[in-house]
Amino acid sequence: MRVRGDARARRLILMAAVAGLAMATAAACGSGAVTSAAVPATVTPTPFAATASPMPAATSSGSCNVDGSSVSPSTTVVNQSDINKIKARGKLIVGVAADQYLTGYLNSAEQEEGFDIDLAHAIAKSLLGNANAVQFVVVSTDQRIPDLQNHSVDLVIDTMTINCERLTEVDFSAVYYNASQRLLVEKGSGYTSLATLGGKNVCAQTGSTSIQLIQQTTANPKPRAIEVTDISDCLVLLEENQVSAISTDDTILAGLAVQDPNLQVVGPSLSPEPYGIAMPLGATDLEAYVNGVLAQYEADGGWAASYNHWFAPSLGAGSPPLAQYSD
Amino acid sequence: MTWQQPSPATPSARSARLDTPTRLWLLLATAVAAVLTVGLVTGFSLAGRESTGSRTAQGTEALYAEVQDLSYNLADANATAATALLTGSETTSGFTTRYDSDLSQAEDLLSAASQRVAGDAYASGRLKSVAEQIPVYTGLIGQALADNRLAYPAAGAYLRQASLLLTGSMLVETGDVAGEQQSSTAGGIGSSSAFALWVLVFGLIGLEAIWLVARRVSRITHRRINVGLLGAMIAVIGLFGWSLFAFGGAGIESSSASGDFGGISSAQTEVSQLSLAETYVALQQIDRGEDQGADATAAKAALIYADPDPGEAGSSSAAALAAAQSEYGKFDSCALAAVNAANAGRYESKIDASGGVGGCEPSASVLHDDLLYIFDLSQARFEQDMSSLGSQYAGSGALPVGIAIGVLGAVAAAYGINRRLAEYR
Repeated sequence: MRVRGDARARRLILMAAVAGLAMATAAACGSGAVTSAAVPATVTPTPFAATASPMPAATSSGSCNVDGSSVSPSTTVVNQSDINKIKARGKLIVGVAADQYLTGYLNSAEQEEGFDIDLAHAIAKSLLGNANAVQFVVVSTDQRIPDLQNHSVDLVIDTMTINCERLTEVDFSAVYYNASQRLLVEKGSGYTSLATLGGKNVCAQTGSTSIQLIQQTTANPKPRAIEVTDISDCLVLLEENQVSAISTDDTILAGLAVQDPNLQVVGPSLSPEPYGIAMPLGATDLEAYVNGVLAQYEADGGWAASYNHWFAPSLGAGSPPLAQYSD
Repeated sequence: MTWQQPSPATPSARSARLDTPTRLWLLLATAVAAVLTVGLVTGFSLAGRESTGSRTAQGTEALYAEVQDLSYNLADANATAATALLTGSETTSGFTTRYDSDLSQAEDLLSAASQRVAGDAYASGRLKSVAEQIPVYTGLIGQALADNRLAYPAAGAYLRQASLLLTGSMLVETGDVAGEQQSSTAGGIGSSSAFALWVLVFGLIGLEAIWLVARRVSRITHRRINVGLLGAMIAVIGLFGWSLFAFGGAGIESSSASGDFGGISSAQTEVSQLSLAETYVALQQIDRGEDQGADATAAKAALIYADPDPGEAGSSSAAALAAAQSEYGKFDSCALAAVNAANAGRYESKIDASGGVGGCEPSASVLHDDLLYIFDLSQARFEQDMSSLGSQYAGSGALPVGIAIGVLGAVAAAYGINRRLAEYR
């Protein structure tokens, strides 16, 4: 019960901060792109979002708390150099994926779209008054942090999991999506978890935590991890019956499942993957601003609309994570 | 009864046992045998060289060209499919036509090449494997194009797998056969003009034999010159001179043919590498660098190999080479710009750069045509050189001519000595 009470208190603080930030933003842009009226009273917290610490055991590691690592939304940041630079430029530069169906991919008109892309547009609209004032830069997994460090991009929104190691290299927003690692299998295959895949080939991306999870499973015999550099290659291997399952984040699995209706996402969460918007280390003004937009986006139904459009058919109902801040 | 060892006959005693006609008959036989042997050896040697040259031009080099062409058509089909994926969800009819044409030609070439290598288990096995993989490859490309129509990223994954099958297996196997035939062709060109030492040895022995016979006949008949033996000697000298002339001329033609074959080889390699460069540029953009830059590295390597070799053109194709080098400069800049744009995550510009009408494709197409033109010129010169090489050996008539001269010389020798024999009848 104490947890639920903490959550209510945080939500009240958050809504007040969002309202203040939204008014400040509207005044700064002069466009009224975000208004305090947009803060909804109709956000329907689900049991998942209502808990202050959705996955406390897994999301805290050592001295780092990945869920509460970001600064709270604020309108009183003294140094706004990062925000001013973006406003002066007139466009937000965002590092995204181009081949992750449903999260960030090129559609048939060669335009980026997906859950992460919707979020980028929302930030651009709030910051610059124009949802399309955003330049997408396709970044590879390895290049995301270097691109932020050398300021090639302002933000990276690319299903990027917040973890302690990354927090020493870049800053993250509050968690905008709580993904979890699950499995993609053929419908009717009978596979429901790693334990049922003993001796079978399971595909995962090279260097991902999925490889470790496959190797650490208690099944006897253990599943064999088949590594690929691009997760889309796993889909081909599964369709060719060279592997029996794919292990990665459920958001990515949902994208693969849409491309082949004979597949389904199954099993319990193998590992939590809290996604955050990454930005250069020390860009506190930008971090506070993005957290404000994020809170607004989650509160005004933007998050829910985007989720329902992209993920609900494959992953079922979902709700935004409860924001936690370091201060 | 006792047995006594016979005392060895002295030369004078042995010659005393042979009367003059018998000695003349022996000399006649020796002379005829010597001239006929020289004629046969020369004829067979030159015919063998001519046959090697002909087999090289019409067999191994033709097979090499076919297999290289097969490699090119497969690589071009892949480049076409990769570029099609970049240009949008709907594959244009131009790309479809080019892809279908490439595959159709590849299948025809594979069929023709398979018939040529019927007796070569190594090459037959390689080509059979390529033939078995073509349906798998086309299936993967078909799935990639189908997924691309729906804007599914799996299109890129299928293209990657098809490209891996092509570059990691099919092109390796055709490359093995091409390498084998390249060595055979280079060896065949060298062998077809290599001087046959035994022609020299038999020619000198034959000449020496006729000379000795002539001296003995002169001593027996007390005549300085035997016209028949003189004719035989002229025949042997003629055969010897003909072979020296033929080998010398063939050596010049062979050297020229080697240079032209180098041009053929370079042009075909460059045109295949051009297609591979197009493929890797497209792949690098499609998989957005998740391969740790492997495609970008492969694209740059292929670009280096696609650079027209200044040494590959003869004087008649110097202008074509200059045009190809100029176009290569444009394509190289364009492709590298596309690679760099993709590295920088600028997918809009990378797509325009590699696949769009104003991008690299037109330049690649012109360069492709330039390289094929150089190939055609080199191939025509090679065929001319090999034809001239055969002519040095009197074409397919080397053996009959050699035998005919030998027989004429033998008849002359027999006639000359027989006239002296007639004096004893």
